[in-house]
Amino acid sequence: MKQILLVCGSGICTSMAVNAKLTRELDNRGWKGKYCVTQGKASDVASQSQNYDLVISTTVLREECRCPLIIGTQFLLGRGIDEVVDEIVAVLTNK
Amino acid sequence: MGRTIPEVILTEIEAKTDQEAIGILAGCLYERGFVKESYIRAIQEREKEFCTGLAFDEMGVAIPHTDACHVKRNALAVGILKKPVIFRHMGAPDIPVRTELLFMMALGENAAHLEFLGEFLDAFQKKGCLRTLKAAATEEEFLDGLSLYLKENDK
Repeated sequence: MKQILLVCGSGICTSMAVNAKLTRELDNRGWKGKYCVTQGKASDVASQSQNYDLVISTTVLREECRCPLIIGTQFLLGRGIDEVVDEIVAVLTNK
Repeated sequence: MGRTIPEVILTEIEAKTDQEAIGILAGCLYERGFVKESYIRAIQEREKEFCTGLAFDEMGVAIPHTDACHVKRNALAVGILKKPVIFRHMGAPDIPVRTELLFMMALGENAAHLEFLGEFLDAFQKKGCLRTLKAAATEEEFLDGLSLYLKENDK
């Protein structure tokens, strides 16, 4: 099971909007049941990222991220989603 | 919070900076009792740390928000800016976003119904949506436009 930490500034707002779309895209690509998304705050990343395979953030992180990091604002804009999902799948496949 | 009913709609906001625009709309939420006075400062500071501009194809939109402790009652405030104001792009602060619409969220601890944000963002991506919303001269016109494009989502 791949572990994804999905963060925004507050941990509830934009990360929730991204979560629904991310889940749909990954399921469409055959990842259903093979990953788990946890929502969090940007400030959680320094202490928690070592426990995850990937961090997806809607904001720039000042904290150190100890796993691959992808900025996911494309999910909010509805533009460039295929490209960012390609990146996400590449990270999940390689780990 | 009804998903198609922003509690506050302010047209023709005149502001020169993102901080000023946020202050005007947040001040309106405070005057109408949705947020504590501390919300105004908090949401301005929050924008500096986590900028919220989003460059949609038709125009820039900013979605400022801040912590639940400053909120009394959940509310959504919409602001139409008379002239574009530069915000910084979410996730990419170096990118300026000419912003013409503000969607300001005041979300308390019990704000469970956040699906509305995703629905709004889906609507903003539709051709004509943001231009229609920007052109609204009255609250009624704005609400008519918004519900039209939210309905389009379901098709």
